[in-house]
Amino acid sequence: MLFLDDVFLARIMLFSSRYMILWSSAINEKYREHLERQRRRYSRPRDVWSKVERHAFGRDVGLNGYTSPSEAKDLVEFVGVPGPVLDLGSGGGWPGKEILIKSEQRLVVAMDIVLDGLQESQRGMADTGDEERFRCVVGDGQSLPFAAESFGLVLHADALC
Amino acid sequence: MGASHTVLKGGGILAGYSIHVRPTLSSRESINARELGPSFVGGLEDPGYLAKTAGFVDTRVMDVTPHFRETCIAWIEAMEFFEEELRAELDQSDYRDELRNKKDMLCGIDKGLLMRSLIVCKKEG
Repeated sequence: MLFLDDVFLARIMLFSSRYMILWSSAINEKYREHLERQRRRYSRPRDVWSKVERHAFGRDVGLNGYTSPSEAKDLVEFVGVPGPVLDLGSGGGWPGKEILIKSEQRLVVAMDIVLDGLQESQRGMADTGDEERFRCVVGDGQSLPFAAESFGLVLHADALC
Repeated sequence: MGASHTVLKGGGILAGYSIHVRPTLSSRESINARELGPSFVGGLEDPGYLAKTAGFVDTRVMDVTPHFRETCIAWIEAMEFFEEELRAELDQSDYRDELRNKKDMLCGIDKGLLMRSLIVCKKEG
């Protein structure tokens, strides 16, 4: 899922072939299991999980990890320097949606290695009115497919573990 | 972290939450922590040191483990409350796996093996 409608994102193509080679050589069994678990999460029926989430946190935000609504609120307060925002290991779009809403005029790039999550994330952004500032990229966090010094802010929620 | 440092502009910030093992665990405790925690928790024992190694400055590591513990409990209670519906909707092993994952996390926290931190660091420039 790669959008090439501006110069910044066109630079990604320069790195995409290198990224694919690195990605395939870095996969190991534990990583495969982790990816499979993530994919299963995005194929679950939303109705019952929405109930679980509302019971646990009082809200239905597509939360599938450990970042609570109050923690998401703290995270999106970081500003960095002017430039696009990278949501690293964006999953299904939480807390990515909060990031997009709070980032005010900045391009937000969601990156994850699981395509299913990015697709769910994109669907979730449709009601923000800001989806034209939102991009999705399939990528591996260990070998980011972006040019150096592309982002003013990188945010993540349980993506490093 | 190194990859994030590369793609950030000078002065840019890397900020996020991460689960990691407590520093200074014994070998046995580290193994136990890795079994109870997420897939790659072992690689993030000292986030401050890793951030510095990656080239970041002004690193702050804020312990949010008490809140993390509450989040785990909230998930477990909600999943048990809706157990019947979840078992009806999900693959049985998926439900068990997910619940066990949350309970293992809570166990790791209560044993003093796992913690969660908000890690904020800056790229010089």
